Amino acid sequence: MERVITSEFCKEVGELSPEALKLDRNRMKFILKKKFRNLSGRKRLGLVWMVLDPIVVSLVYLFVFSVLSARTSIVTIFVGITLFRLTQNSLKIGMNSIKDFTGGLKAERVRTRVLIGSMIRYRTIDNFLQSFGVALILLLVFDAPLIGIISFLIISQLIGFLSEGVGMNLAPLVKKVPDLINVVNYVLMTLFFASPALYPLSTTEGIHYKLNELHPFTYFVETARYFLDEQSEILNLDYRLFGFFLFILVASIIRGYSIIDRLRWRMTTWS
Amino acid sequence: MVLEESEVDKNIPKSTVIEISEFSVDYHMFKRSRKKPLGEFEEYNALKALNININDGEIVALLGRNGAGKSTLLRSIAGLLRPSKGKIVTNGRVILLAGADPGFITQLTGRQNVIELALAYGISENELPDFIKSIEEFADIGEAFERKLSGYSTGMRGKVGFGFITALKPDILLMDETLGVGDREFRKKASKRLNEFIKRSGTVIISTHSIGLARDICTRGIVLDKGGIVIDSNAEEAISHYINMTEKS
Repeated sequence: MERVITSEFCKEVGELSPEALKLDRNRMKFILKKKFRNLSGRKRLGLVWMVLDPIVVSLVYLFVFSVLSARTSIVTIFVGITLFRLTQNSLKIGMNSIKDFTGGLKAERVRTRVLIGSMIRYRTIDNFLQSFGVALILLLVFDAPLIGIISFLIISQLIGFLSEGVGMNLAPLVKKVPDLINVVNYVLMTLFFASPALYPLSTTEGIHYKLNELHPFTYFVETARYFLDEQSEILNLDYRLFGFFLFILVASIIRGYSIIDRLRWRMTTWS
Repeated sequence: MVLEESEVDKNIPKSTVIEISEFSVDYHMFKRSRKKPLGEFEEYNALKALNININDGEIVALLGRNGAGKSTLLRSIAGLLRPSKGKIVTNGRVILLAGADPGFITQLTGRQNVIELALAYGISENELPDFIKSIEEFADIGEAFERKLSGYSTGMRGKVGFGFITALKPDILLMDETLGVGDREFRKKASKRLNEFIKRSGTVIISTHSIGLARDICTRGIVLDKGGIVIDSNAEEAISHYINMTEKS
């Protein structure tokens, strides 16, 4: 196959053959396997930790709240913490996506479609693993409605993809100014306590409530709680604002994936 | 990701498998100074407007001092570095042999790694048993082949990695001198395997400091210095020029 390399692109000429398409599929599988293997490392429970992590963290906060005698519902905490951790992790993965565009194969260039394909598959599986354990507990232990469980799983997928999209847009900036990672960490920490992750929006008031109205996470977590028959303010929130946030987030994820090829190429000579 | 046929220059002769025209590479290095405490990117010119045509079947020695731009050129041809100017057109599958790690997963055994990587490098399931056997026999690490790679020594990992990459079938092989792994006995074996690999590959470019290797197997030589071509000629002439150049300095 003929390949043309210029300052603008590195592309192959003509249609990809069935063999090339099969090779790409094998490479996607390899990259996924490598990512998950690296994540599980030598841990005895491996990927099970991805399922356990939101459950354990929720239980810790539940304990803290019971000590503080706060009357927050268990389901509200489980949903809030799971969705916030998913947002946090996906955003960070998006921001770090620029670090390795080789796909882990060092002797040959991997097509960008392979990288994008493996990123999408990874995100889907990661979103599922991080929300599945909690969904199961909500269903079996707390007798949550099925529609609520399904909504929770769908919102987990949405929030994971959208956060990664935002992270991917921040990635070039982070590469140029690595200090941004610290700033983002502090912002996320503040948002964790300030946004309705640990408590329903209805318990906030005044400026705190107003600020949360301007935070997209609020809309997702309150929607999930609504379908789980929990305390939720979603019907009192401005759906036009939600639509606006959704539009921006969807645009950022489309942009995030579409700039990978250009970005990958540009940063090969950065050090 | 793909270009239309009409966008491609049809004037390139069929036998030319690598066409490099006016090709320059600039690295962008982050630098902090008193004047710019937040830092800025500084450009460093690594390759300067190179023009090279390489034909099918040629074995080219890329000679030059450290930092002359040899590795940059190989990585550029492999499609791993973005040029600042110019163009490279390659025709065929390009494999870069630089180091002896094709992309190992350390949590898997040697055998599992070979299987996973083989599929990712386009080895078909029919070819797989022979492919694995060839690497197992070459690496000759006994029962360690069934152990996780995380427990391998650098030498063992190098043997499996070198065995793997040299079992592939590229149309264009780019080699960045890599025989630094293993013991004396292994190097002898590796040298033999490398020669077979080179013969099997259509076109080869070897970046090397070894005059012997360049003289023995190369048909053409290119000497680089400070990112530019000093001489592009037959292997013997290029080697003589390189020797003179290094002796003077």
